[in-house]
Amino acid sequence: MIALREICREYHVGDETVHALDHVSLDIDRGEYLSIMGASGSGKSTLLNMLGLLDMPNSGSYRFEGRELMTLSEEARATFRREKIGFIFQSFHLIPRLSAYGNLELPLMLQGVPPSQRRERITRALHDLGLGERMDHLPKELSGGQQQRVAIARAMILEPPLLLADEPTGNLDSRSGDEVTRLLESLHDRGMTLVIVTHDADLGKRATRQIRMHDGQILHDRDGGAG
Amino acid sequence: MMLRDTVRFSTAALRASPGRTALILLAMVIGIASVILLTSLGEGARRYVAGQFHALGSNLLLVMPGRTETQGGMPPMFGHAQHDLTLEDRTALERDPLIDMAVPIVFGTADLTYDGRERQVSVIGTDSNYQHVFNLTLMRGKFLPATARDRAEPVCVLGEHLYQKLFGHAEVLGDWVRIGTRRFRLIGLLQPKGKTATLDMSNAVLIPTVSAQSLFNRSGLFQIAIQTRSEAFARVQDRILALIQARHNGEKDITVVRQDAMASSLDQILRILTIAVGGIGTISLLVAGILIMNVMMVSVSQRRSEIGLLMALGASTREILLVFLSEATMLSLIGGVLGLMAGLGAVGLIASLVPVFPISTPWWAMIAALVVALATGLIFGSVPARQAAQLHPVAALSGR
Repeated sequence: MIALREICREYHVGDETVHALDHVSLDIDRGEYLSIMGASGSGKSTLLNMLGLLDMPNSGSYRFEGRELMTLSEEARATFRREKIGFIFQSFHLIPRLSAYGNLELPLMLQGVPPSQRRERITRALHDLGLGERMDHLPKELSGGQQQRVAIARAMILEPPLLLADEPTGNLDSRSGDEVTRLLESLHDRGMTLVIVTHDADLGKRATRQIRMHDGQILHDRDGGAG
Repeated sequence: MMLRDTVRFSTAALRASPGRTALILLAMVIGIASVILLTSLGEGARRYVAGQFHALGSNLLLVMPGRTETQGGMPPMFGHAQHDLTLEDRTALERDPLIDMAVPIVFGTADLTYDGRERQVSVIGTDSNYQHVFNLTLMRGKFLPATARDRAEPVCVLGEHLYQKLFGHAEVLGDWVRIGTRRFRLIGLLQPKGKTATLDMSNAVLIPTVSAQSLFNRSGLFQIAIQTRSEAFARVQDRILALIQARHNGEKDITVVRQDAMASSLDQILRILTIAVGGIGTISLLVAGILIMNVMMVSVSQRRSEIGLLMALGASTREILLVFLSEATMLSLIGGVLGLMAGLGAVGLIASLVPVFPISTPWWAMIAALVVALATGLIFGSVPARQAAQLHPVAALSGR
């Protein structure tokens, strides 16, 4: 599904050049469950941002389902993110003034889904995650675990083939973290491709494939874990 | 994103910060209301002056001794002519079939005394036709009689204001007053009407032409007011010039001015003045615009992670731009409509407090106010909107 070749990403900090990604090549198959681990500054988040087209490499090639993405226009990259990627963030990134319903409506609005079809889809998504009763609650009226579940529902509502999660349990207590982990794994069980960036070794080891990064390079890449 | 959704999303954002929204709305309201109020005052002044001219009567030409080189504009107040305008000139003009009435006017100031009280007044020497030509109405008594046309009859008619000042409410019709060195019998009081372009009628006393000439020891006339039968003013004007030139030994020594030409040049001046004060009002709109820009820039920097999220969810730069532009546009349009209502309210208040002043809001000012409000929002909103759209998704998501 995904083929990264010789991806480089450099930042300039003052006079210094930081190689956030240094000739990274990586293939990800459809339905894989992949964790990316590494120390701070190892390049794992940069890699995730590249996969989600939030950031663009300085050089290299990125093919998704056979299509080269390096040459996409700004507009086409936005469309790609909307249709192909679901993002999950450590800090949830829910819009505080919108209810759970309103937050879930955003992707549907951006996709141009007619209002008449939105209610049913949002209601079903929230019910599936056990948040049916919380539909009209603002984020501040929800627990951390509930907020992350709303964020996952938002990432899933357009049923994208690829889910990218950046420290999805980083802001949660262990119980809520476990819940969220189980939820993500159930999505993988349904055939979704899942890429998780994490510091948490326990979470990372659950993935069917683990990548460890160091200084912008892939240190090792191995199959394993509980699945 | 559909337009409806963009508007809904922006509305929610505006509602979420009521203080900020109210501040911008207030600035817009003040800006638009001041434009409306200032242009309405200007338009009121124009209408007031136009009304005063209209009260003078139409079909009016003024013949004055002396020559002015300029076209239109104000006439020479005291011409230096070779020949005076005389009552004979008046009689000759009256014979022209295109002229309905020719009214001689002698003007001067003198002291009016009655019962030990004294006051300097404007004295107008004229005849009975003056009343028709200048649309004067009597409050009481009679106007100058037709018999006093070319005779120094000792009668006078008094303006209302002067009457109040001199006599209070005492019944004095028929009494004798002294004007300068002569005595006149008071035979009529004029209804208040306001000021003409040159004379304050309520503060004047009218006496027969010949009486005024002898009072001021003058043989000529100050001017002759002509009421024409025809609308062909230019033709009448030429005939007057030709006729007087023939009578004055071929000298072109008079000026003929159309009353409405004077009115229209004043009208034009006041129209430009109205636009100018409206322009001054737009300065406050400029301030409102800068406030919109400033507050929205703060809003963009506070909502960086929201912008990043929208980008991650697949919003294009164009959609982000539209979200912020629609916020600015909504603020300026709502502010514009509220400002228009506030401005019209203030105009209504002034109209009810000062009924004689014909304050009125020109239609173009209302449209211009709304267009300028919208433009203010779009122009000053575009800077922060662009700023938002150009954020890097990763930097925005991390709030940087």
